[in-house]
Amino acid sequence: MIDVSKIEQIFLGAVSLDQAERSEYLDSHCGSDGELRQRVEALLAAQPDVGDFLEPPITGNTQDFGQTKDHPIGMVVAIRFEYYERQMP
Amino acid sequence: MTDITHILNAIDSGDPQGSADLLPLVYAELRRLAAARLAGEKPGQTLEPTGLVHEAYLRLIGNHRELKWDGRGHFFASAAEAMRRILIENARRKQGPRRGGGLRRVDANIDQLSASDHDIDLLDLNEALEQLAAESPVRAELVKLRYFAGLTIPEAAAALGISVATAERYWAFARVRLYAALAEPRKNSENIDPD
Repeated sequence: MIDVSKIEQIFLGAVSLDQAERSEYLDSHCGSDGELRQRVEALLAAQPDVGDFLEPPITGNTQDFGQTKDHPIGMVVAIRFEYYERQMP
Repeated sequence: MTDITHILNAIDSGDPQGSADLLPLVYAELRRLAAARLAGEKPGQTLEPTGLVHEAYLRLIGNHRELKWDGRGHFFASAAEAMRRILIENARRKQGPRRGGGLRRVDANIDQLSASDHDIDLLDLNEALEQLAAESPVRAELVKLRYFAGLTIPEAAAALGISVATAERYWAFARVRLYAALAEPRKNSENIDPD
Protein backbone atom coordinates (compact mmCIF):
# COMPACT_ATOMS: atom_id res chain seq x y z
CA MET A 1 0.00 0.00 0.00
CA ILE A 2 1.33 3.42 -0.93
CA ASP A 3 2.17 5.66 1.98
CA VAL A 4 -0.43 8.41 2.29
CA SER A 5 2.23 10.94 3.34
CA LYS A 6 4.05 10.41 0.09
CA ILE A 7 0.94 11.01 -2.00
CA GLU A 8 0.17 14.06 0.09
CA GLN A 9 3.67 15.46 -0.23
CA ILE A 10 3.79 15.10 -4.00
CA PHE A 11 0.24 16.39 -4.41
CA LEU A 12 0.97 19.52 -2.36
CA GLY A 13 4.22 20.07 -4.24
CA ALA A 14 2.51 19.76 -7.62
CA VAL A 15 -0.77 21.55 -7.03
CA SER A 16 0.54 25.09 -7.36
CA LEU A 17 2.64 24.38 -10.46
CA ASP A 18 1.57 25.05 -14.01
CA GLN A 19 1.00 22.19 -16.45
CA ALA A 20 4.55 22.01 -17.80
CA GLU A 21 6.29 22.31 -14.44
CA ARG A 22 3.83 19.86 -12.97
CA SER A 23 4.61 17.20 -15.54
CA GLU A 24 8.34 17.51 -14.83
CA TYR A 25 7.70 17.48 -11.11
CA LEU A 26 5.66 14.30 -11.30
CA ASP A 27 8.28 12.70 -13.52
CA SER A 28 10.99 13.31 -10.98
CA HIS A 29 8.97 12.53 -7.87
CA CYS A 30 6.93 9.55 -9.00
CA GLY A 31 9.61 8.00 -11.17
CA SER A 32 8.43 4.68 -12.50
CA ASP A 33 5.78 4.24 -9.83
CA GLY A 34 2.70 4.29 -12.02
CA GLU A 35 0.24 3.74 -9.20
CA LEU A 36 1.68 6.60 -7.17
CA ARG A 37 1.50 8.94 -10.16
CA GLN A 38 -2.07 7.88 -10.92
CA ARG A 39 -3.19 8.57 -7.36
CA VAL A 40 -1.57 11.98 -7.32
CA GLU A 41 -2.99 12.85 -10.73
CA ALA A 42 -6.50 11.87 -9.60
CA LEU A 43 -6.21 14.37 -6.76
CA LEU A 44 -4.81 17.07 -9.03
CA ALA A 45 -7.74 16.52 -11.40
CA ALA A 46 -10.27 16.88 -8.58
CA GLN A 47 -8.68 19.92 -6.95
CA PRO A 48 -10.22 22.63 -9.19
CA ASP A 49 -13.73 21.48 -8.20
CA VAL A 50 -13.18 21.14 -4.46
CA GLY A 51 -14.40 24.65 -3.67
CA ASP A 52 -15.53 24.87 -0.09
CA PHE A 53 -16.18 21.14 0.29
CA LEU A 54 -16.25 20.32 4.04
CA GLU A 55 -15.29 23.87 4.92
CA PRO A 56 -18.55 24.92 6.43
CA PRO A 57 -18.65 22.31 9.13
CA ILE A 58 -21.82 20.30 9.50
CA THR A 59 -21.95 22.02 12.85
CA GLY A 60 -22.37 25.56 11.57
CA ASN A 61 -19.77 28.28 11.20
CA THR A 62 -17.64 28.82 14.26
CA GLN A 63 -16.78 32.32 13.04
CA ASP A 64 -20.30 33.28 14.04
CA PHE A 65 -19.16 33.37 17.63
CA GLY A 66 -17.47 36.71 17.36
CA GLN A 67 -13.85 37.82 17.33
CA THR A 68 -11.82 34.82 18.33
CA LYS A 69 -9.02 34.72 15.82
CA ASP A 70 -6.55 36.67 17.89
CA HIS A 71 -7.02 34.73 21.07
CA PRO A 72 -5.09 31.69 22.26
CA ILE A 73 -6.92 28.43 21.80
CA GLY A 74 -8.01 28.03 25.42
CA MET A 75 -9.53 31.50 25.33
CA VAL A 76 -11.32 30.75 22.05
CA VAL A 77 -12.90 27.71 23.61
CA ALA A 78 -13.85 29.68 26.71
CA ILE A 79 -15.39 32.49 24.64
CA ARG A 80 -17.47 30.06 22.63
CA PHE A 81 -18.67 28.24 25.70
CA GLU A 82 -19.57 31.46 27.41
CA TYR A 83 -21.58 32.40 24.34
CA TYR A 84 -23.52 29.16 24.67
CA GLU A 85 -23.89 29.59 28.37
CA ARG A 86 -25.61 32.92 27.81
CA GLN A 87 -27.94 31.35 25.23
CA MET A 88 -29.07 28.52 27.46
CA PRO A 89 -32.33 29.08 29.37
CA MET B 1 -19.89 16.07 37.26
CA THR B 2 -16.73 14.49 38.58
CA ASP B 3 -16.99 11.21 36.64
CA ILE B 4 -16.04 12.78 33.36
CA THR B 5 -13.31 14.90 34.93
CA HIS B 6 -11.71 11.76 36.34
CA ILE B 7 -11.86 10.16 32.93
CA LEU B 8 -10.29 13.20 31.26
CA ASN B 9 -7.55 13.31 33.87
CA ALA B 10 -6.94 9.61 33.31
CA ILE B 11 -6.56 10.26 29.60
CA ASP B 12 -4.12 13.08 30.33
CA SER B 13 -1.97 10.80 32.44
CA GLY B 14 -1.86 8.22 29.67
CA ASP B 15 -4.45 5.74 30.82
CA PRO B 16 -5.49 3.94 27.62
CA GLN B 17 -8.86 2.99 29.05
CA GLY B 18 -9.74 6.66 29.46
CA SER B 19 -10.78 7.33 25.89
CA ALA B 20 -12.88 4.19 25.77
CA ASP B 21 -14.65 5.29 28.95
CA LEU B 22 -15.22 8.80 27.66
CA LEU B 23 -16.98 8.02 24.41
CA PRO B 24 -20.08 6.29 25.80
CA LEU B 25 -20.68 9.13 28.25
CA VAL B 26 -20.34 11.81 25.61
CA TYR B 27 -22.35 9.78 23.15
CA ALA B 28 -25.20 9.28 25.64
CA GLU B 29 -25.30 12.95 26.48
CA LEU B 30 -25.27 14.08 22.85
CA ARG B 31 -27.96 11.60 21.95
CA ARG B 32 -30.14 12.79 24.77
CA LEU B 33 -29.65 16.41 23.76
CA ALA B 34 -30.24 15.67 20.08
CA ALA B 35 -33.45 13.81 20.85
CA ALA B 36 -34.69 16.61 23.08
CA ARG B 37 -33.90 19.19 20.41
CA LEU B 38 -35.57 17.18 17.66
CA ALA B 39 -38.66 16.67 19.80
CA GLY B 40 -38.93 20.40 20.33
CA GLU B 41 -38.11 21.55 16.80
CA LYS B 42 -40.72 23.16 14.61
CA PRO B 43 -41.16 21.32 11.31
CA GLY B 44 -38.57 22.35 8.72
CA GLN B 45 -36.08 23.62 11.27
CA THR B 46 -32.64 22.12 11.36
CA LEU B 47 -30.60 20.69 14.16
CA GLU B 48 -27.28 22.34 14.88
CA PRO B 49 -24.66 19.85 16.05
CA THR B 50 -22.17 22.52 17.19
CA GLY B 51 -24.71 23.72 19.67
CA LEU B 52 -25.19 20.18 20.90
CA VAL B 53 -21.47 19.57 21.26
CA HIS B 54 -21.05 22.71 23.32
CA GLU B 55 -24.14 22.13 25.34
CA ALA B 56 -22.89 18.61 26.09
CA TYR B 57 -19.58 20.12 27.12
CA LEU B 58 -21.27 22.53 29.50
CA ARG B 59 -23.46 19.86 30.99
CA LEU B 60 -20.75 17.27 31.40
CA ILE B 61 -17.81 19.49 32.31
CA GLY B 62 -19.67 22.54 33.54
CA ASN B 63 -17.64 24.89 35.63
CA HIS B 64 -14.40 22.94 35.70
CA ARG B 65 -12.56 25.84 34.13
CA GLU B 66 -9.31 24.51 35.51
CA LEU B 67 -9.50 21.72 32.92
CA LYS B 68 -6.44 22.06 30.71
CA TRP B 69 -6.72 22.33 26.95
CA ASP B 70 -5.60 18.69 26.63
CA GLY B 71 -8.66 17.57 28.53
CA ARG B 72 -10.88 19.70 26.34
CA GLY B 73 -9.14 18.35 23.26
CA HIS B 74 -10.00 14.83 24.35
CA PHE B 75 -13.57 15.87 24.95
CA PHE B 76 -13.87 17.37 21.49
CA ALA B 77 -12.37 14.32 19.81
CA SER B 78 -14.89 12.18 21.61
CA ALA B 79 -17.74 14.55 20.86
CA ALA B 80 -16.87 14.71 17.16
CA GLU B 81 -16.86 10.93 17.01
CA ALA B 82 -20.11 10.66 18.96
CA MET B 83 -21.80 13.30 16.80
CA ARG B 84 -20.63 11.57 13.66
CA ARG B 85 -22.16 8.29 14.88
CA ILE B 86 -25.43 9.91 15.83
CA LEU B 87 -25.75 11.60 12.44
CA ILE B 88 -24.83 8.42 10.57
CA GLU B 89 -27.37 6.38 12.54
CA ASN B 90 -30.00 8.94 11.76
CA ALA B 91 -29.08 9.03 8.06
CA ARG B 92 -29.24 5.25 7.87
CA ARG B 93 -32.66 5.19 9.47
CA LYS B 94 -34.02 7.73 7.05
CA GLN B 95 -32.33 6.76 3.84
CA GLY B 96 -33.76 4.14 1.50
CA PRO B 97 -31.80 2.10 -1.08
CA ARG B 98 -28.52 3.74 -1.94
CA ARG B 99 -28.28 5.19 -5.39
CA GLY B 100 -25.20 6.32 -7.27
CA GLY B 101 -23.01 9.25 -6.31
CA GLY B 102 -21.97 10.73 -3.01
CA LEU B 103 -22.61 14.34 -3.98
CA ARG B 104 -26.35 14.81 -4.11
CA ARG B 105 -29.08 16.17 -1.89
CA VAL B 106 -30.34 14.03 0.96
CA ASP B 107 -33.81 14.82 2.25
CA ALA B 108 -33.61 14.98 6.01
CA ASN B 109 -32.93 18.13 7.95
CA ILE B 110 -30.44 16.49 10.28
CA ASP B 111 -28.43 15.16 7.33
CA GLN B 112 -28.19 18.29 5.27
CA LEU B 113 -26.84 21.11 7.36
CA SER B 114 -23.99 22.33 5.24
CA ALA B 115 -24.37 25.70 3.59
CA SER B 116 -21.58 24.85 1.16
CA ASP B 117 -21.71 24.67 -2.63
CA HIS B 118 -21.84 20.92 -2.33
CA ASP B 119 -24.65 18.67 -1.22
CA ILE B 120 -22.96 15.91 0.69
CA ASP B 121 -24.33 12.43 1.18
CA LEU B 122 -23.41 11.78 4.78
CA LEU B 123 -23.28 8.00 4.45
CA ASP B 124 -21.00 8.14 1.41
CA LEU B 125 -18.80 10.67 3.18
CA ASN B 126 -18.65 8.37 6.17
CA GLU B 127 -17.57 5.45 4.01
CA ALA B 128 -14.84 7.52 2.37
CA LEU B 129 -13.79 8.75 5.80
CA GLU B 130 -13.46 5.20 7.07
CA GLN B 131 -11.25 4.33 4.12
CA LEU B 132 -9.09 7.35 4.89
CA ALA B 133 -8.98 6.34 8.57
CA ALA B 134 -7.67 2.90 7.59
CA GLU B 135 -4.72 4.55 5.85
CA SER B 136 -4.25 7.55 8.11
CA PRO B 137 -6.13 7.74 11.43
CA VAL B 138 -4.85 11.23 12.24
CA ARG B 139 -5.97 12.75 8.94
CA ALA B 140 -9.42 11.21 9.33
CA GLU B 141 -9.57 12.46 12.90
CA LEU B 142 -8.76 15.96 11.71
CA VAL B 143 -11.68 15.84 9.29
CA LYS B 144 -14.02 14.64 12.05
CA LEU B 145 -12.95 17.40 14.42
CA ARG B 146 -13.45 20.07 11.78
CA TYR B 147 -16.54 18.79 10.08
CA PHE B 148 -18.48 17.23 12.97
CA ALA B 149 -17.40 19.37 15.89
CA GLY B 150 -16.67 22.61 14.07
CA LEU B 151 -13.16 23.13 15.37
CA THR B 152 -10.94 25.59 13.54
CA ILE B 153 -7.60 24.39 12.20
CA PRO B 154 -5.59 25.73 15.17
CA GLU B 155 -8.04 24.15 17.60
CA ALA B 156 -7.99 20.82 15.80
CA ALA B 157 -4.18 20.93 15.62
CA ALA B 158 -4.02 21.46 19.38
CA ALA B 159 -6.49 18.65 19.99
CA LEU B 160 -4.40 16.31 17.86
CA GLY B 161 -1.03 17.44 19.16
CA ILE B 162 0.23 18.47 15.72
CA SER B 163 1.46 21.79 14.38
CA VAL B 164 -0.88 24.16 12.58
CA ALA B 165 1.24 23.82 9.43
CA THR B 166 0.86 20.05 9.55
CA ALA B 167 -2.86 20.35 10.14
CA GLU B 168 -3.18 22.63 7.13
CA ARG B 169 -1.34 20.11 4.93
CA TYR B 170 -3.45 17.24 6.21
CA TRP B 171 -6.61 19.26 5.67
CA ALA B 172 -5.72 20.25 2.09
CA PHE B 173 -4.99 16.64 1.22
CA ALA B 174 -7.93 15.07 3.05
CA ARG B 175 -10.46 17.43 1.49
CA VAL B 176 -9.44 16.71 -2.09
CA ARG B 177 -9.16 13.01 -1.39
CA LEU B 178 -12.64 12.80 0.13
CA TYR B 179 -14.07 15.03 -2.58
CA ALA B 180 -12.59 12.79 -5.29
CA ALA B 181 -14.01 9.71 -3.55
CA LEU B 182 -17.50 11.19 -3.40
CA ALA B 183 -17.43 12.60 -6.93
CA GLU B 184 -16.74 9.17 -8.35
CA PRO B 185 -19.94 7.36 -9.36
CA ARG B 186 -20.66 4.36 -7.18
CA LYS B 187 -19.49 1.14 -8.77
CA ASN B 188 -22.37 -1.03 -7.53
CA SER B 189 -25.27 1.34 -7.71
CA GLU B 190 -27.79 -1.49 -7.87
CA ASN B 191 -26.79 -2.99 -4.52
CA ILE B 192 -28.25 -1.88 -1.25
CA ASP B 193 -25.46 -1.22 1.23
CA PRO B 194 -25.62 -4.12 3.72
CA ASP B 195 -24.26 -2.00 6.62
